[in-house]
Amino acid sequence: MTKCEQKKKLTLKENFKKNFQDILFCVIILLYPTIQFIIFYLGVNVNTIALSFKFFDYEGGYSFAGLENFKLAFYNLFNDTGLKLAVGNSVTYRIIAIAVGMTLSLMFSYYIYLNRAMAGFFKAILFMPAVVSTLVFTIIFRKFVGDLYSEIASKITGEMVPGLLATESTKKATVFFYNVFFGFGTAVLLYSGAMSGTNESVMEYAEVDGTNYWQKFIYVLFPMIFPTFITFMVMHISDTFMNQMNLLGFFADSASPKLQTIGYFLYTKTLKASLSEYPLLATYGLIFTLITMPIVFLVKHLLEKFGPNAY
Amino acid sequence: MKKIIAFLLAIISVFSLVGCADPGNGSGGGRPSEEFDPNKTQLYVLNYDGGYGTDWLYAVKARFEEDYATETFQPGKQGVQIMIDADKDGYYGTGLRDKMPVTTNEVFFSESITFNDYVSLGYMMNIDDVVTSTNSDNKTIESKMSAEQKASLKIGGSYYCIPHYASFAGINYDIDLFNSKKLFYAKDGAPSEPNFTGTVRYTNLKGQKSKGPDGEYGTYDDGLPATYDEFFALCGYMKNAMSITPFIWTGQYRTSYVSWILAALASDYEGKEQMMLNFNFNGTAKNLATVTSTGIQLDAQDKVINNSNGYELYRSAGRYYALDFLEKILDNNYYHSSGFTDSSAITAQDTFLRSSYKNQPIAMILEGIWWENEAEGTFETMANRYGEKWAMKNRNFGIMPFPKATADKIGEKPTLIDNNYSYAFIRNDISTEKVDLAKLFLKYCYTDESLAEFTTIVGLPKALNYEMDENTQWKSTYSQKVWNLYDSADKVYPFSQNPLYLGAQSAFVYYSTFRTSLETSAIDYLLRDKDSHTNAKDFFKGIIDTNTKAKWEQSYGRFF
Repeated sequence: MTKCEQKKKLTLKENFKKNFQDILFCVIILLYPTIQFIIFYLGVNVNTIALSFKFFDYEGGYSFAGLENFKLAFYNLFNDTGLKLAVGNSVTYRIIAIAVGMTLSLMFSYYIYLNRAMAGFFKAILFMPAVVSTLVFTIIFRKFVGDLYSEIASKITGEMVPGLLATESTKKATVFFYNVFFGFGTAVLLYSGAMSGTNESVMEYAEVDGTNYWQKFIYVLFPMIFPTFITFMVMHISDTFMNQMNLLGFFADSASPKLQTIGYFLYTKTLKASLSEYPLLATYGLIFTLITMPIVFLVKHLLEKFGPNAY
Repeated sequence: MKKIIAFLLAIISVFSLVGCADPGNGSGGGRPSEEFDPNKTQLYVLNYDGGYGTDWLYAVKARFEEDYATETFQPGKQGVQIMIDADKDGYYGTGLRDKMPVTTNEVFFSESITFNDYVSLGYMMNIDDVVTSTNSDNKTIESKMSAEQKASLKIGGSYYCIPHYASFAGINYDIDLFNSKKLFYAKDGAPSEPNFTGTVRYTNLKGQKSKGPDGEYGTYDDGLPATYDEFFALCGYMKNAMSITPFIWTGQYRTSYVSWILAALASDYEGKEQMMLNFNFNGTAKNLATVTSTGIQLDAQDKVINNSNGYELYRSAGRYYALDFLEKILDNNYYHSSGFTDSSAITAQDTFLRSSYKNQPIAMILEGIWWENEAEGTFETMANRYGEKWAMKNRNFGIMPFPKATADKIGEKPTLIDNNYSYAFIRNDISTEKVDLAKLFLKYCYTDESLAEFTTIVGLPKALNYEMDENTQWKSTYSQKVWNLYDSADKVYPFSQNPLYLGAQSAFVYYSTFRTSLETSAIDYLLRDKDSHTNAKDFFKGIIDTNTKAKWEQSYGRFF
């Protein structure tokens, strides 16, 4: 070994020694999320995809099913009224959540950003559902629109008035209202965070230019927080067939098919399923992923291409 | 203001954290953890601590530990220590199944066990020797099982689990109220009586009561309505003449509870043999019906059922009669106003138990047989507050054998359906030196003495055939009445080893088949537009239309 090579080797060794703590830090930091990603993302999804091409029977174990699970899943999707309704509910709720929920959370965030009267109070109230257990909140709301509403309305009208979740005509609207209204927490927090992180001098400049509140929001602030908006939009759309609309908290596993979403349907079925029933459920999951995925990418692409650009 | 909000948030957050309490290892039934004794061999036993509690297990533990105090199961140790781990969440069903790889327990008593899954995943030990060898009572556990249990429990010719407790739902009635208000049908005072005079008469006198649904005098069901017609006449009498509310049930869980009752009514109508077709798809269906403009019409011909035409069973008449029974309760307002509120099962029990004291009597509650155990708190509170007269031991409740849909069925045995899939088993991978101990303990839990002890302590039966001594000190009148019904009935354990059934077990859970493509809650559907009086028929038609031949073939075609 030449002196030069020896020196080079020593340098590498020294470098490693010098950087050892940094490398160790990186490994420790990345180890947990990497393992989690491998098990709960790769492992679960690879297994789900594999399951959708399999049958399970108790004598022979798993066997290759070809496209049989897909045939049955599509048959059910086109023929089972309950499933069709669940698809419809998932999409309807998502449209409402985007149109109403996102718009209002932007408005609330803007109000908080402007620090107008009782902004702190609204921030705390709107954020409350995000810090309190969803189940607890759902139960409180259920009691409120159930027995309490019934009691008060019956006393006022003098007739027996059932709770809002007990009658067909009010059930769906009540559940939708709850989900939209109590879904503001995280959105308001992140939007108001993004807004407060924007350059104040730009806003001051806009004010000097004589813009009103709406103009400031539409032409200045919204473009600056547009990346956050895209993130939320992507999250919303990818959640379309996963969201169970808190139906479990409202109705346990007995929600009417008229209310069910695909997320609820899959969750409740999986909860009770035996091993032999998993392949079909995995197939549903895969089908809805295949439906959602291109829409997510398309929306993201369109928003990035045609959305407002602050810079 | 901010401080107030922060304070309120903190309070609410604390409430939401209550649900995160430690599930409790090595303890159970509200007892403190037991200290580990290094001089003894420990056997870890998991128990689902629901309506059947854990007291029975502590009783077995005490006897077992005493009986084997001098035995050596591990070198250097003498005696055994049963370590009980009892709780609810994650201790049953798929939750327990998913927990099996990490739990340290060795013997299990639980419910909602899809045991084929456990065997396939290698969680259950082969316990052929436990089931088929003679126990200390000179009987085998197998000899205490029904033919259907033997057939459905064997996987590849071997046993991996044993039935644990029996569980069924029904109409539970307040005997004290029936006596004080004279609500029993009198001998010759009911239309089903052989010498009915044409005038309905009620009584509370022993020996003066009608035959009841079993068609015999001098039995536990004397004076109870024998037919649906008699039953609803009684309900009308209660409501209109006596100002008694006939029924209460949990409003919050009405869908599940009422579905259990529908399943129970249908089972009682169909009988064991017909009911088992819904799980083994092998036999002749005799009660299939077609919907007509006025109700249903029974098929003139019986139908051979196999895997290819199981969908036919969705039009069994028992389903219709069960729905019709429920529709009559709703149409005539024979129920308490809380039946469609957010009232929990405990609240419904509480209201039922307090109704007599408040002089707003409720005669019957739709519940599972475990309800009295769940209501122990109310009994205690009432006894402390209003006097011993209201204690459980001093009150009398019973479970009513279902009246028969038609008079020609009077005298037929009642049929009960067990919905809880409750089993006991041993974990497959316990250490070799503990296998014999685990098997010994499991066998010990199934001697006649242990079975009777279970029934005495819990007040409810195990899902096996055994005798109770005539001098048994029953936990309550209700316990005795439950035993009377259980002992006299045919039992349906809704399971089979048919691959088609196993391929979609959750779809064949009988009570959950009372649904249409648009309705999961029969009771909510029947309540709507109730003046039409056609909801039962429409719902029955909905069930049939949901389970079509095409859907069946598409879903299960690979099994035939």
